[in-house]
Amino acid sequence: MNLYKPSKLSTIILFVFALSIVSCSKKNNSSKTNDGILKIGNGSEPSSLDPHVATGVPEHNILLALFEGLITPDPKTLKPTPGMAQSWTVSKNLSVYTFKIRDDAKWSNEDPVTAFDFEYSWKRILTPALASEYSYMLYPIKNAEAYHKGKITSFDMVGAKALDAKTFKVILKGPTPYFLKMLAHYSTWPVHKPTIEKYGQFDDRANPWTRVGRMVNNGPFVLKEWSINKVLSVIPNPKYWNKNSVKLLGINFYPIDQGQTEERLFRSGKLHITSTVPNHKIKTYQDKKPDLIKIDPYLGNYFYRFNVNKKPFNDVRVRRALTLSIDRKSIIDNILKGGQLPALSIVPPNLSGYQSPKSFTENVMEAKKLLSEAGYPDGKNFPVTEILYNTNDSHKAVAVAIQQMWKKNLGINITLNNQEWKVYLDTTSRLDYQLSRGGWIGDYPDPNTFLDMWTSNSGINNTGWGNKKYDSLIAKAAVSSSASSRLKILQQAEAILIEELPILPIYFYTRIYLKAPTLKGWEPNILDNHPYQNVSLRNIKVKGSETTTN
Amino acid sequence: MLLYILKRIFESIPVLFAVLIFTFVFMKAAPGGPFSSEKTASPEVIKKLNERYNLDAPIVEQFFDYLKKVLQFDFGPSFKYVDRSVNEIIGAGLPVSLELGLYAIIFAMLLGISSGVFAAIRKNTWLDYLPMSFSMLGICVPSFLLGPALVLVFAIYFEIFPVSGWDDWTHKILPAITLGAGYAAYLARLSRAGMLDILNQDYIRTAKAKGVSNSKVILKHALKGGLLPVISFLGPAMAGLLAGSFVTETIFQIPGIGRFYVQGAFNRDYTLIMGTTILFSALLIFFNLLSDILLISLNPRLSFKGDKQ
Amino acid sequence: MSLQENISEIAEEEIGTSLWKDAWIRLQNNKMALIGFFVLIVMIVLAIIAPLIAPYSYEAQNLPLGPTPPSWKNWMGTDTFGRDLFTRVLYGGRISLAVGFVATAVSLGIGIAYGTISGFIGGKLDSVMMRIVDILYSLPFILFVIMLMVLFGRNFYLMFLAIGAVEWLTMARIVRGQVLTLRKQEFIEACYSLGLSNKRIITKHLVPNILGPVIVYTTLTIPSVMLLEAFLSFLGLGIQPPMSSWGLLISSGVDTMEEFPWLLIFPGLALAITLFSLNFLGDGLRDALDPKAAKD
Repeated sequence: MNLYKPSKLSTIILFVFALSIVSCSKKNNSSKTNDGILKIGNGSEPSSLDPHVATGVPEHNILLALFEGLITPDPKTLKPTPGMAQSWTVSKNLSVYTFKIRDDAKWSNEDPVTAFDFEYSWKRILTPALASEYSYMLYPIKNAEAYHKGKITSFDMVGAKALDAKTFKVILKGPTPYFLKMLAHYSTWPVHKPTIEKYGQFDDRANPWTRVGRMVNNGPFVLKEWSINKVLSVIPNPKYWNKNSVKLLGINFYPIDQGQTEERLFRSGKLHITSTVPNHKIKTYQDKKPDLIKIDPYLGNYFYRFNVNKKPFNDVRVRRALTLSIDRKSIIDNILKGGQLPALSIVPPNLSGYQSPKSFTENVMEAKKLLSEAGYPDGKNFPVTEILYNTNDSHKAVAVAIQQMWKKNLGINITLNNQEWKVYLDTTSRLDYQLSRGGWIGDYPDPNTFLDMWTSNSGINNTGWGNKKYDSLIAKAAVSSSASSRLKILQQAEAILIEELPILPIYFYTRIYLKAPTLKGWEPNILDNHPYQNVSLRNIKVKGSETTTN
Repeated sequence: MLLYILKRIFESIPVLFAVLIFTFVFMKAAPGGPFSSEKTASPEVIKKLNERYNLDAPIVEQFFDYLKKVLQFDFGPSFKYVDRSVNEIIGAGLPVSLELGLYAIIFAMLLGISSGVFAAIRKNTWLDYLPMSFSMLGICVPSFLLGPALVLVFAIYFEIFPVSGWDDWTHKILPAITLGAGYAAYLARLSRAGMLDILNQDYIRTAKAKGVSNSKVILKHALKGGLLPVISFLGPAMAGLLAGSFVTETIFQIPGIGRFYVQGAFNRDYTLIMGTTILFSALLIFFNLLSDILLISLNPRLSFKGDKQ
Repeated sequence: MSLQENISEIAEEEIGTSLWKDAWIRLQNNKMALIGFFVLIVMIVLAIIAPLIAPYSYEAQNLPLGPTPPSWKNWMGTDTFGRDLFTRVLYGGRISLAVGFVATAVSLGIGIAYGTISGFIGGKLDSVMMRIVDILYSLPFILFVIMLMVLFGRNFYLMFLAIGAVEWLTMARIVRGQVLTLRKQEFIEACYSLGLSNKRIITKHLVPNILGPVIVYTTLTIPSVMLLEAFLSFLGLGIQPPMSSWGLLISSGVDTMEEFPWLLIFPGLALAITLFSLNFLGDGLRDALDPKAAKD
């Protein structure tokens, strides 16, 4: 066994090797990226491509290419436009919707898309055994919740019925003005029955029907390749009814979970869109390459939960004091740098037609006074308080800043505790915390998605706070038939939250990303929802600038 | 020797079993299950999910169920990647990581052993201090620093290599260096120390005194003995590479098993964790066996028959 | 006292004192090792007196100021929160050095004891002990860390436990390997024929001779411990903001290395200098302790 390595020889070999690499170096920058395929940095590997099982934004981005629901939102306004349904009628009391499925709607294997497909699909997602985590999206439908919870066993009693192959009738519990907008969510999209039942049980989550070569879908693209942790590729679906609107030759989704790597890939021309921009790079781009960075309003809020069961957070004066003594603008300008908005109320401001009630104003003097009234003048005897957050640089930075603000303004001592995601979720849901960082991205563009989570029996409340009046207002709004009075009721509910402050609102999200100038038709909207129809890539070479775009 | 190998394999069965039990217990005791997620509201859904994956059965029953499947090489479905089986995921990720690990080790051995041996021979000269200082750098510079630095210089500024990915051979150089640099540094120091130990031994002096030429001395006598500590280090190092490659795989977005391994822990993906842990243990046992065989073959004073006093 | 015992006592004393005395003399002659030693002492002293000499508080933020390059006001510049970097590097050193030395000492102690016993006694006990090492080595470290964090709460001292629990394994392996080799060598057999007790053989003869690779490996362990600490703190086990360590400072400096390179350079230098010193000192010790090392 001779272990001798001829080191001199190997050095020479390595040297020659290196030379040859340098000489054929420029090959990577060749225009392989100019191939009409949209390349998206998608953040993480999708856990499932089954619309009734998936949860998460990366999954949504891919599903948007593969499936289509009854409606498709307009890319600019998010207004529902015809998708699988070419038209629909609404009853006077706003509780019954009748959809007419278009005649040329086809599955990728040429089967026609029918109303029976929708009935089957909605039954599937509401089937208890499937354990879909988004089934609650369909609860506005009559008896849907009862069916899902096993209280009734016949789907015939649920208000979703195919009257014939082209007519789909939906009966709601009460007037739900945001119902059509909700249909933009993938949980309401159809799946192909024969395919599902060919590869397994219809209520088995692990049914492997979504693989390349097996999946049958009705959207603008079909699945071409799916290499885990590497890339997921789709190509245009020739059977799609609106195929003329598809201008791309394909889409590649890259599950890149590192912001730094993603930014470098974008810089080297390998990505057209990124999922995020590292905080400290925002200013660099804004100064040097402002046409590449986009900051759009995003429908989401960022807050800290108070555990109102733990002293002293059961005292609303303490909660108010903590809320009023943070300088949100400083955090946004100096740490986040992403043009976020200070949150002085609960519901984000970008919802047309809805106005939040009067919000609170930051005021350190007032905060000090409140704290003193509560029995802790200048922070004396205030228990050491811990802020819990999930491991993430941005959350950490915000917490560190707030820790100092409270120390300086109120004289109280704060410790920080970061836990990794699963542990953090568990700790929060068990109410084993004092303050816990939270955030919520709206499921649909209506204030209700930000308000019904704080009712006393909501599984995502997790603060221990409950208010009977609040609960009744939310319930009342759910069955209100007048759009304007409904919004007024929601306003009253939000006012209670602003008064009671079971959560400490900090900022409203923005969506920050890098976008290649060759990408056209990518419209900003508050849900960051980008249907791929009418998105295109143009081949331009910008002279005299550093960025050679492909 | 065959008997020795068989004996070792037999001994490794309780090891694997113990690993299984340990991991199973740890996983179950760690808080947060595979289905904790911000949108999971209703307890009914959780109940159904637990039923589906048999998570509400008594622990012992769950364990034996699982054990049965493992003996048939079925590691079950992943919890996070809902329609994929763990076998599939491992099957996709393992070859990639093995390849990356192989390149890293080759790089580490070439660079590390040669500079270590040279340094020992030319002890206390510049040929000693320089490589040893570089090797110290190799230990001080962690892969999460080296990787991005290499990418910045060679992929962005000089545009020689791609930023990330795992397609053709140009994608494999920077990750191999990033992953291997730390090991090269260790190997340099270990081989230097080992070589020095041997070079100072009496039998080497004897050989030199007898007039055997320097290079012959090195090749025939010193190298074998000098590399002994290297070999006993390489065993666990090889297997450690797989899990340690997580950082490199993350920086360069390489679809290897290291990344899945750690993602599985974060996601509490029970089956994936168990599967990769068993795999990791099996590989470790294999590499240790390999290194022990080498060790015994090389050391004239040890034998396969066992080393009783 | 019988003649036998007399002779063995005399023989031992000679072996004992001359080994260590020799080593000390040799060490003093090694320039690089001495430099390393002194630099190390300087680092340790700086870390200890940090609260006395730091120009600013390590946590006082100046958000509007943000990151600034080195200047007269801030010798090493400021970080993204406007905090003085020099102060943070000083305080970071306290954490890193403490973790480095203590955790390494823990793993050394366990590792040497374990490996020596295993290699020396050999046979079935060795097999069993090494299998235990194998099992522990294959445990998924991250899970183990999360478990610890959960069971005992977030605790700085817990970090020593976690790190020590992992590092001693490799040390035990190396020590055992060395012991196995040494056991067959002549001078050990000579000890037996002289009638020395097992305990004496281990402590006075075996251990000094395995110290060579052990010391070298220790100088490799301390840096890896320091970096391991950075990873653990990132996961949530260990120090919490606003405290930091060199490892953490470096890992956040990497993210901003294009925009604010000083955030990486200074903590990096601090760590590198410390580790280099450890290296030269370790080398010197190794050379000094080798009874057959040829003089230059």
